[in-house]
Amino acid sequence: MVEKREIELIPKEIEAAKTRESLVRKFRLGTIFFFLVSLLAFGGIFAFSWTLSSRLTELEQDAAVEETQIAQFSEIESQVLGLADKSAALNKILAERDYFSIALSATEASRPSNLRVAGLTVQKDKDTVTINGETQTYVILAAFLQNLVDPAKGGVLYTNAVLNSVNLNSSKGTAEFVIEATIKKNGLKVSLTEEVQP
Amino acid sequence: MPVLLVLIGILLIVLGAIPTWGKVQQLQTDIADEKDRIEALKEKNRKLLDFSDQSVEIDKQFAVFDQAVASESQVPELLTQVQKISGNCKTKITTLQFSGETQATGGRLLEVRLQYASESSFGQLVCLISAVEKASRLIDLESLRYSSNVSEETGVETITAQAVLISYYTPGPILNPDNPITFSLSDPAFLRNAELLKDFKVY
Repeated sequence: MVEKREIELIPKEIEAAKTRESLVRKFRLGTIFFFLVSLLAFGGIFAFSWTLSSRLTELEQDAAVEETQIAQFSEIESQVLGLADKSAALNKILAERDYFSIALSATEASRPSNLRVAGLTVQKDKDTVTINGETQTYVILAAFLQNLVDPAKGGVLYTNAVLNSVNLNSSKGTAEFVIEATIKKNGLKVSLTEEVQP
Repeated sequence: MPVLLVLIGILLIVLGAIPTWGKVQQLQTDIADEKDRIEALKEKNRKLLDFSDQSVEIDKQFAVFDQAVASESQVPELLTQVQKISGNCKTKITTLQFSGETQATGGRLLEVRLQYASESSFGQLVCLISAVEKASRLIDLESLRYSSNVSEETGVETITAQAVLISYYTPGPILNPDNPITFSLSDPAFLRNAELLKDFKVY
């Protein structure tokens, strides 16, 4: 038995060495393959990237040509953009405008003949108008207050009229008053469609 | 040697391929963007070419709209126009001066303010306010205050009016090839505005 073991030991070592050598060869081939694959991957991606860079440069040149052509129309472009700005502005201005002539005519339409409006204050985007004046009698003043909210007269604009103060001027024999009249919501505005009407 | 090849391979992937792949993706996005940009530029060129063929109409409409909302260079003319409007209604101007400039809310629009004071009759004041509202140069009233005095000698009533007037102007446009042109001469809003301006009086 001892002799038999000594005889079988030599082929096993050779076989192990062969296996090792085969593994090393496979590892070497594997590393070379890995290296080649990584080199190809890098090279391929680099080449693709270079092609894309060239394409982008070409496109940028095309864009520059278009920009040059646009620059030749700079004068007409300025006018077109200016027109667009002005048209948009016109809409905004007219839509937000307060027509103070409405306040003047509504107040005048409410004024009894023997009452004098000595002053009026109206401000953009404020919902009140201050009216001051003088009259001979309180009856006329009461009529003025009523007229201001009468739909056929000042009521086209005013929704409320409050007598803030009234003083008797004994030297002139007149009653001097201050009225605060409340304006309807958007009462001083005119819609753009109405604006077109003559 | 094999270990060195593995190391070199790993370095090629980590330091070469992966960053370059990132760059490739960025380049693909840039190319797509640039193609879109060229299309937009071509479209803008086409529109500008169309507009240049209609330059007579553009000039005409620009002149009309420039009367309403002036360009920056025409701001000083506002004083002359207000004087003309007052003159037409026979009101006597006692104060007329610029009193400031502000940016209007929204859009490319600037406001310029005028302090105005005048003496007139009530009828003339009504005429003035109506004329301002119907003037081709758009002028708003920010405030209006008037007071009347009756002369004891003649019995004539004089209205002293004080107002803050606002007029508007647009600064020159900033040209940028990448800004598209959305304006059209056949746009209904523009045509309506052009129609509106026909009713205003030129001073």
